[in-house]
This record gives sequence, C-alpha cells and structure tokens, in this order.
Amino acid sequence: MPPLFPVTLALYAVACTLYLAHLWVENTPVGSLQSGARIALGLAFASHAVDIGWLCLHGMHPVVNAREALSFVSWLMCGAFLLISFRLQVSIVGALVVPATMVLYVAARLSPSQEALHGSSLLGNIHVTLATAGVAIFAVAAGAAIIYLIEERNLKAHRPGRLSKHGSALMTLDTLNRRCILLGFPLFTVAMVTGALWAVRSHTTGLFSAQYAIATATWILYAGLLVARQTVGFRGRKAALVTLLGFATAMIVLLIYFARGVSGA
Amino acid sequence: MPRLCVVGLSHKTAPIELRERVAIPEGGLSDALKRLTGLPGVREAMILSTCNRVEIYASLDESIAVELLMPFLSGSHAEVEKALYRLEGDEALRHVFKVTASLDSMVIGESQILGQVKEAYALAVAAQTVGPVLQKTLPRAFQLAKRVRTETDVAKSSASIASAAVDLAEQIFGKIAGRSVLCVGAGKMGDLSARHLKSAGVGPLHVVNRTLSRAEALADKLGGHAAPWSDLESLLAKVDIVLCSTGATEPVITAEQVSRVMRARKGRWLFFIDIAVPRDVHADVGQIENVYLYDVDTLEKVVSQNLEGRERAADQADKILLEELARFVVAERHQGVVPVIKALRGHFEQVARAEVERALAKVHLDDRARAQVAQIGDAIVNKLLHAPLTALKRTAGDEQADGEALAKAVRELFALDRLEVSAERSEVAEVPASEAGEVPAKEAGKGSR
Repeated sequence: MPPLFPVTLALYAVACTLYLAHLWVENTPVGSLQSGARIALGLAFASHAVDIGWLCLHGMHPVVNAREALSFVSWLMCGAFLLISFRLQVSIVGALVVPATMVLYVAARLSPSQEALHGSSLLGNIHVTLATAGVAIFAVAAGAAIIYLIEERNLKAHRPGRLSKHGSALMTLDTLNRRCILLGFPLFTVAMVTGALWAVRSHTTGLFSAQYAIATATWILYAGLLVARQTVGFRGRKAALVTLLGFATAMIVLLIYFARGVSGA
Repeated sequence: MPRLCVVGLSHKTAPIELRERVAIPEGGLSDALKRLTGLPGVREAMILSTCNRVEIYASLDESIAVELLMPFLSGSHAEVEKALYRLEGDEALRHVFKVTASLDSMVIGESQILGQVKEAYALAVAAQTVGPVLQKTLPRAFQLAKRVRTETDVAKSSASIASAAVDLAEQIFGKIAGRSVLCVGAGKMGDLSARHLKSAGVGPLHVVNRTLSRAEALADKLGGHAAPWSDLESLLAKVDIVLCSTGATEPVITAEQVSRVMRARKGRWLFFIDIAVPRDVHADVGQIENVYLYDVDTLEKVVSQNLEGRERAADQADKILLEELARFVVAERHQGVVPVIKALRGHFEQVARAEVERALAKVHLDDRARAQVAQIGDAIVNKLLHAPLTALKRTAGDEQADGEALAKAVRELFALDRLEVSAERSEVAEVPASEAGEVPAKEAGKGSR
C-alpha cells in the first residue's frame, strides 16, 4: 500500500466534511468554507498524485488493473472538479463528487491486489488510461446532472429550498455538464478506437462483446447529446437525464472490467 | 454612576396612529436632543425615530428615575404613556443590541434599521449629546449587528415579493446582471417591480403594453425600450425574464404561445414573474420544459418560507446577542475596577519610593547600588500586590462574586479616595499608613461601582 494512503484519506475526509458542511451548516461564512474545502481538496489531489507516482516508481502503470483504475478515476474526478470549481460556482456539486471520490479511493486501496489486466501493451495502456479519464470526467458531469434535477424539481414545484439557495444556478450546472462532456468525449472516443484495435490485436475480448456494445452505447448517447445541444438546443432537464443514462452505461462497462479483474478472467 | 436607559414605543406596543403622534421629524431631532439633555440628570441622549419605533436612548444619573423621560415622548397623553416601555441597565443594553441587530424589527433581519440607528447616533454626536455611556454602547451594538448578519442566515433570504423574484432569477441564471427583462403591462405594480429588478442590475429592459403611449412612458422612466403589443411574441423569444402586470381579466400569455417561443429560443431558460391578479400567464406555461412560472401566490409562499427561516435564524442570533452582552458586561466590570487598581498600585509605589529615598539619603552608595535598592523596592511592591490585584480582576469578571464590594473594601482599607483627593490638592501625597483605617465610609464608597 502506498505510504501516503492515510494522509490522502485524511485530506479527502476533511475536504468531504467541508463540502458537506457548506450544504448543511447554517451560520458559517460560505466564502471561507468554500476556500477551505478547495484547499483541502487541492492537498488531497496532490497527495493522491504522489500516491499514484509511488506506484509508477515501483514499475506499475497507473491503470495496471481494475483496482488501480478505480484509484485513477477518483484522482481524475477530483482534478476535473477542482479545475472547474475555479471557473464556476459549483461547490454544491463538490458535496456529491468529493464523497464519491473518497469512496472510490478507499475501495481501490482496500480491495485485494490484482494481476495486470493488459500486460505491458502500449495500446492497452492508452485505452485503459483514456477510458478511465473519460469516465472520471463523465462522473463530474453526472454529479452536476443530479444536482440539476433536484434543484429543477424544487424550482418547478415552487419550493426553492436549502439546496437551491446554497447551491449553484441551473444555468451554471448545465454549463458544467456541457463542458465536462465536451472534455470527456474526445478522450472516450480515442479510448474506444484504441480499445477496438487492442481487442483485435490481442484477441482478448471480441469487438462484439457485451462490454464493447455497452461502451458503444455510452459513446452514442454522449455523441447524440453533444449534437442535440448544438443543433436543437437540447439542454436542462433532458440533457441531465441523458448524461445520467450515459454515465450509468459507462459505469456498467467499468464494473464488468472490475469484475473481470477480481475474478482474474 | 450614570446608567443606560431606554424609553420608547414600537410596532410591538403601539399601532401606527400612536407612533405617528410620537414620531419626531428629522429636522426637529437636534432641538429635541438639546431639550432632552437640558433635563436634570440626563447626561447623554440620542433619539431613534423610524416608522416602526420611536425611542430615546439616554444615560441618566443614578438618582434620576427613568420615568422622567416619559412625558418627553408622551406629552402626558395617557394612551401613549401606556404604550411606552422603559428599560434600564442590562435590560436597556440588551434592547439596544436587539434593535440594532434587527432582531426586534417587524421583518426580522431587515437591513434598514442598522442604518437608521447609525444615523441617529451620528446626529447625536453632531449635537454633542453623546458621552461615555453611549460612546461605548452604540459602536458595540454595530459590531454585534455585523456579526449577526455574517454569522447567521437572519438576513440572507428575501423578505419581499420583488426580492424573492430576484433571488429566484439568480437561482436559474446565476448572476442577474445583464439579463434582459420584458415588462408586459405598464401599471404601477409593474413599475415598482421593474425598478427593483433594475436596481438588482438587470440588462436591457423592454416594455410592451396594449396602449403604446403608456409603455413609452414607463420605458422612459426606467431607461428601457417600448414596443407595441404585436411584438410580444418576438420579444418573448429574446428576453430572459418576463414581468407581467397587466390589468387583463384573461391570461394574455398562453402555453401554445410559449411552446412556440421556446422552440425559437432553442430551449433557453425563461422565467415568468406574474404579479397580476387575475393572472396574466396561463398556469400550463409552468409545465413547459425550462420555463419557470411564479405568480403572486407562489412568490408569497416563498417569502413566507423565508420568513420562517429568518425566525429560526433569529434563535441563533439571540445566542450571539447574549454572548456579546455578557462580554460587554464583563468588560464594563473590569473597566470599573481599573481606577481602584491604579490607585492601589500608585499608593504602594509612592510609599516604597519615599521609603527607598529616605533610606538612600542616610547611606553613601554608588549609582549601581542605588538602582539595585530601588529595584528591590519595586519588586516588594509587585509581590505584595500580585494576590490582591488578581483577586480584584477575577471578582470583577465573575457575576457570582461581589467584585463591587471587594473594590469598595480595598478603597476603604487603603484610604484610596482620601489619597486621590490629597493628590489632587497637592502633587505630594504622602499619607502615613496609620491613618489608613480612619477614612469615613461615605468618602470611601465614592467612585466605586
């Protein structure tokens, strides 16, 4: 286990508490809480990076197996959210994304060690790295989509509650969703292509496997969403729902990959 | 020792008819303050006269009853007198803190009152009717008000329909600055709400009305653009916020129309604020994707939810108030023993210095040795005083302990009052220790709290 695991975990826990506190604590200056949360998350991100770097120094690729892929996903989710939180007022999304990041990180570190899934194949490494990065960014988009749906329902029902008041504006959440998908989609596309090539070359899984079919469905959903956004102004609630559907399919692919890792298939 | 007193009436004790009768116009405040401080025993005064309250904050001599101030406000009208409250000491202090922090306001947390108290204080300062008591109390009350505003949610939610609408717009669009607005109808209600939106910083403002001339008049007033009724649909496709306030008896904006508009807008968010009664926008419009419709009823519902939230936050604010109050009272008590501590230390130092000098006059020592002897004198004083001074400070801050009695006893034991008087008379204040016990109690009690 990497030596910085307890430090990283503690930092994630602090960031997590502060992002959740922002949502629930009533009489705390919001600004200072937000910057405190961001600093804690920044430190957690850095510590997690050292953690991943330590594995690399020991000759392991960051996504050498499903276990490490989980850790890598959580690190990228954290990075993507951090990056976006400087541009948009989205700390409410942090209350969802940061705990998820922490859970994934803990799951990765506490799950049993696994054999390398894709050996030392360059194509395999590129595929898994990019697919992981894409899913991590889609996870942030999904977080934004969930918050959007809750806030939207409250506003429509004339009950703008605590979440809407402490949260981000609907338009900001939709922008976060759009930007994340714009960022994650090209990575995911290259991952699909390299994955196909890798599958054909290594004869590991067929192009027509369930995993590949579901991954293709994810790609089609996000491609459709991007096109619909540009052409017919597809946005708001429907875009949030499609994002969640796309993310669910991407998670299924990840789960299959993880299950294979665990079973050693 | 002068004490803080409050006499006044507010929306809680008097209806508007009585408040009107007592209110003092701004122009008459300086005169009123001068008349107040001209009353016997009134050391300081300030007057807070707003539409919800008329109050006198004064510092009165110990021998003067707070009732002295009542005729000043009531003019001896029994009805007004009945509505007047009179508070003194800690109760008065608590009231001033509560009013300034907007915890006693009709709409808890409203921001106007702090400005009004600040103005009233500035006016009293200008009229030179402010002294040590008000100078200590009011700035502390302003600090408390700031703490309450920043540390609780008491002032965070909007308390009027117009500000609730601005809040909702921000929850949809983020920043409201630069968002375009369409006013449908050019009535008085629309005018008021549009002004509120304008002051919140919205961007281009369009006005449509069945009678173009009225639309033009309102647009001129608000710095917007007027358009004929026929442009309604094209404008709906352009703007972000629609404010409806026509006098029409049937909805003037229908769901079919908005569905068409939303297609043209490519689904961009649209926020309808319908303050017209009967409503201008058909209820079905609210069902359309990315369209948010709030009418008077739903806006009022939001406001009342906010007010409930304010009431809850007021409980937290009360805790802060009590905390500040306790801190203030302890600081005041500490302040009260400072003269005793000073006098006691002065007395000891003087005796030590005199004795050292007398001893040094009898022997021949070099400068270094003389300095050392003087230092020994100081050290003895410090050691002897350490325990009594600590006890004085401790009991002063402790509500249970009778710090006042202890301070009084110290004054009496060491004849500090008599020493102070003689020090004032002549610069030499050497009192033989043997006389210390002979000070009359009447004198010894003077100046202690």
